[in-house]
Amino acid sequence: MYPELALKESSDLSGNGAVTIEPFRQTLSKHGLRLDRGKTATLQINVGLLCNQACRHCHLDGGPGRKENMSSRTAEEVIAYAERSHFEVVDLTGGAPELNPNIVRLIQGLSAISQRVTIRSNLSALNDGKRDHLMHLFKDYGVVVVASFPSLNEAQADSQRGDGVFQISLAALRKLNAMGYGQEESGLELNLVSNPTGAFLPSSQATVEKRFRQVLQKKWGIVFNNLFAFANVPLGRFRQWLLQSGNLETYLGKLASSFNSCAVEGLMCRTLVSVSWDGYLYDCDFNLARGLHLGGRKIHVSEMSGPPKPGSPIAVSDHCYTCTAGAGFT
Amino acid sequence: METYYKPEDLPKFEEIGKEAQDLATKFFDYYAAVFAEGELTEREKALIALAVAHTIQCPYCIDAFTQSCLEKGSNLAEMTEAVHVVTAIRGGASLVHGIQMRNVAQKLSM
Repeated sequence: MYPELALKESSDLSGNGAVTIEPFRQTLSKHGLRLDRGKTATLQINVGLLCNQACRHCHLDGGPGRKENMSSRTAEEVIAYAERSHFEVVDLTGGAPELNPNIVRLIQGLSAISQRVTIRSNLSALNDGKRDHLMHLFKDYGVVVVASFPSLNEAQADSQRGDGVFQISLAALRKLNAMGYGQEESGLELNLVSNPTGAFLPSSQATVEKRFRQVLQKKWGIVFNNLFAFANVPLGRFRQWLLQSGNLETYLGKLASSFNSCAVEGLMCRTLVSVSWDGYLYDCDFNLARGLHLGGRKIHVSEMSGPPKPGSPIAVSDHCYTCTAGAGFT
Repeated sequence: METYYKPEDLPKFEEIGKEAQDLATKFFDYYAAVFAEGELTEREKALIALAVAHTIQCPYCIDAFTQSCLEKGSNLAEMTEAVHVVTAIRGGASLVHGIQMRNVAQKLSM
């Protein structure tokens, strides 16, 4: 009931909306912290910004009009990079990765290399009536499906993701369940991602997971393995919405005042490297959206002999407060 | 004073401890314990608080617990129903006193 606003100094996100919060790097240093890489175990591949939806919380401005999509040449270069780097996990994201014409090749190539391949799905691209073959491909290769499912309320979900998406998502989840996804002992993992449907932070992940598990099972007979509750990142389309709705300053203040120094050690950027649709490297998908390159310069996957070195610094900006708010972002 | 209620006063709530820190500490500790998960979930408690906030017509509380309800996963339909619950109780409390009115009127009337 009494949130403290941390509005102190000019922020490097202040150009668009005259917002003032303490720079993230300064907050780290005040707590005696640095943000450096650990052992990089995950390769996140953003195959493109093309998406069938135009969600209002998208940090990448993904949508149907976007032309940026990974070519077959870049896909091969990324697979070769994964092969020489021995990543434990490969995480495919977008846009809607299902819409990339090279997605089958990527899954086949990467599954042969990494123990765990995950795909982030908005569910509607997967369940558009033309992509059942992809569901079967995911099953055949044991790909972990990480599905967006922001809210148990249809109006809230559709307001964030587009009219009709809630019902399409339920149908897709039922179909995945019928194939064995999310079912005990099937070995087919189905995880959900819930983002707040507005300018507020998520509740604790355990609480959200418990409620979603009860309600999805009771109302629609849907089961899943894990749920991740992520805060929305103030970049891209979500930032524009914050600005237009007059919520930007309060939201950034809320993120900054929720800074949890204990979350820094477990941040995903410490163990992940992100590659964009055109093959360039970033510390995470949010730095990719912001154009903050790994190591401060444009490096192509084809130039890399292996994962980024442990101890190398991670590029930060004020959107990083999203991942340190509360329990943190994984 | 331009207005009695200012949104920027809400984050200053803890300043109330400046003149009586012991009492404020006891209040805020109690407050935090009340809203922690117990037999009721944090989400259910936030809905109750939102409803009561409308009964006491506290704009600070309405602001804070609207946000809290959304953060804890409630939706606008649930929150609106909660407000109707307290509205029904509040309206019912007025209406049930109509019996008192009837009793008095009947006693006085021929």
